[in-house]
Amino acid sequence: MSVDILSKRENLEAFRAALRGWLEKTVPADWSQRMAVASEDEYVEFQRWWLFELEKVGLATPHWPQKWGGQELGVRQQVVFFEEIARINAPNPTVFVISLYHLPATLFAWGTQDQIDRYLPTVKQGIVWCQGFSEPNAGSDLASLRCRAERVGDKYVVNGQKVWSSNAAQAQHCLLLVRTDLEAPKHKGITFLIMDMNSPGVTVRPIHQSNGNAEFAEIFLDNVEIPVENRLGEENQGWQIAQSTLSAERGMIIFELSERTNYFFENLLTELRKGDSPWFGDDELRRRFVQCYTELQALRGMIRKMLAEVEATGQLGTLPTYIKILYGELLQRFTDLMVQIDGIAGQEERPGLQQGGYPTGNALYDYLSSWVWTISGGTNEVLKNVIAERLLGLPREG
Amino acid sequence: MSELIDFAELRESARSVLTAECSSEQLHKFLDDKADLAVALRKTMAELGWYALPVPEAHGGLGLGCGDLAAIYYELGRVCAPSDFLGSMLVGHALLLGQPGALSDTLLPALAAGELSGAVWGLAQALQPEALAVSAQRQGDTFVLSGQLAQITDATAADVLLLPARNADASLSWILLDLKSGSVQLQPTKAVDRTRSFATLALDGVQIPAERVLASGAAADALAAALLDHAALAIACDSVGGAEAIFEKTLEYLNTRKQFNRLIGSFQALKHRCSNLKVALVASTVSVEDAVQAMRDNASAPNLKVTMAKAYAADVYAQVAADSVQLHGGIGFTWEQDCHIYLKRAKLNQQLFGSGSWYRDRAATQLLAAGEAGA
Repeated sequence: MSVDILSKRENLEAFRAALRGWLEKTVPADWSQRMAVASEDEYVEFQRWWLFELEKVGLATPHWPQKWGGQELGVRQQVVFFEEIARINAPNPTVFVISLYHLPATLFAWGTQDQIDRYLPTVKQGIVWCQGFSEPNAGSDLASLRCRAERVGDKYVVNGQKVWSSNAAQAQHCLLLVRTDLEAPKHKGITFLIMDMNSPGVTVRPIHQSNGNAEFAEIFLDNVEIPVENRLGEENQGWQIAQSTLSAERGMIIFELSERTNYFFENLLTELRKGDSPWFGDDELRRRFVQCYTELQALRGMIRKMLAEVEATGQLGTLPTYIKILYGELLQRFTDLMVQIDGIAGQEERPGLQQGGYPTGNALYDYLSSWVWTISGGTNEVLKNVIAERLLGLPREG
Repeated sequence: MSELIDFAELRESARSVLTAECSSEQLHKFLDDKADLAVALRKTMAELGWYALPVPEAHGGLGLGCGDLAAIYYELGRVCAPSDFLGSMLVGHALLLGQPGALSDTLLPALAAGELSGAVWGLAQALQPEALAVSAQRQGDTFVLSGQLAQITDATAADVLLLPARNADASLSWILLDLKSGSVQLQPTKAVDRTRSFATLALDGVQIPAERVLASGAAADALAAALLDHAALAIACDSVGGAEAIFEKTLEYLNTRKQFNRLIGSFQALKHRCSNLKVALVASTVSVEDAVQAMRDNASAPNLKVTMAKAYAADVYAQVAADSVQLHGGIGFTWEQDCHIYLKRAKLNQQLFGSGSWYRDRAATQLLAAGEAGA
């Protein structure tokens, strides 16, 4: 019997009920324990399985426009979708974040019909995409990137190095930013290419992270040839195009993470109500816990305000930057609190579920992973400059 | 209930009035004992009918709930207004929820007409009646009050004082004391936050008629929870209003003051400090907005959102105000600048009607209890 969730989308209650029923049947009960000890490849395979299960009920790409195979689900339906995902702690297909969000946002805005026809179908085939943006000398100052692309006939020949590319080791395609004009001002000499990761000259080296994982990698490019038809937009238009990539769907990603975090709190509260959590009797720990809970509810309120604005105006408004900063800092504060609560027993190494974003139950691992949110996606320091100059009206430096 | 007024319009109009009637200049004169701003403001607010807002229509008011009054509380906080408004509103709330009778029939219309000024004491202490500093002994159809009250807030011009008392069986009673009867004498003391006043009161076997007991026992406990939520919400709104105002003034200063041939706001250390404050301000504002909405939707007391919002907003206000002093440099430390006014108001907000720790412990209890309600 096929499950029909989407046909109920106009009635939020029915949509939620159908989705919840499907999730309860489909999400494996022990998946997070199994995946915490699985290999990198096994975890990617598992996430691919999950993507395919979602696609069976038409929910792999719910936010895409209908003409490109999506459901164009409204904000309210997407909210219900992520609420239910969070509630049951469904798998999080993080290996497909680039393919599900960043790739389509860029293609829909800048891709030719041919490029869309070539690349969009790979997403539902469970093909992994990565981003080749940052470089060892171009992190916060991304526009200063030096990866060089020389036009030779109908190809670009690319040399350089990229860093902090999520899941590059499993990726088949790469959204690549290269420098094509050395004379122009730095923002105006960048071109956006789509690179086949299996091309000769491409070497991937995983980065060993402080939390023990290696989900990010370096990519070394040695005379890699990329056909001109793989270029998005015009030559030297890459920086403008990259803005679409960088702002892709930040709203829903953080909404999902904050809902998962909220359920983590709710589960913790359920335990607390049983009355055998001695730590709650410690005044400092208990009050820090209440403060974290207070800030999480404030954050959730801010996210809902932002989503209401998206629904009403189609614009994100000013809240996303505040949300991103608060989420990262709160995650760090809260996971640190959990580390204090765990005491010395929590200092023993245990398997951690690779997620990069919300509390999973291994407090020290979660704490060590929390820097993903304060550093990547624009460091909080850079964002605080943006807030001060663009939102508070303070003068630029110099 | 929440459709009775346009909240945004009420807030807009309150802001407009208070900006004109409680400017920085007027406030400074008041702090230097050179103007009776509290009296002038009271007159304006009474004429505008603000005191009538929560009074039932039958008694000449609009019947608004305390969630709607938030529109005024935000704006009073924005200008650090010296006012008996909160005290009067809490007295009105107690009259509405307490025993109906001749007393409420007389006092509610007087409140609506702007002719009754009220003050309260002991809202947090009322949650532990067995430990209350004031006792009430029944004597026929009167009650005898004994005890010492300190830091009674904004009561200097009050006609009545609402206070909790411990009954002989350690249960709670709410008393509405007539301050003009001649049998009691408030002793004014000075609060460091000069936008508010303090007073002490010694009750030495003061006899009051039984009708002055607004509620006892379980009804008094329910009233205590409602009054505390109301007061906590008011302080949370006062905090957000004040924090926004002093933050704006600070940004203005950073965009005006030059040193080293540049506007000091161009220095990154100061920018980042402001951005951090802004994030906290946005978050605490949303926390308070959620609490206000819960109250406007007639949430029952005690309300967790209100409890959390009070602790959070007061602490953020104190942080913003403290940083405003630092960000103003030397002049931030002067009497003539506004910074200290907001800082002192923020520090008192952290203590009024219960401290941050007290509210966080209360929230912890409410969180544990929520599961039992099957939430």
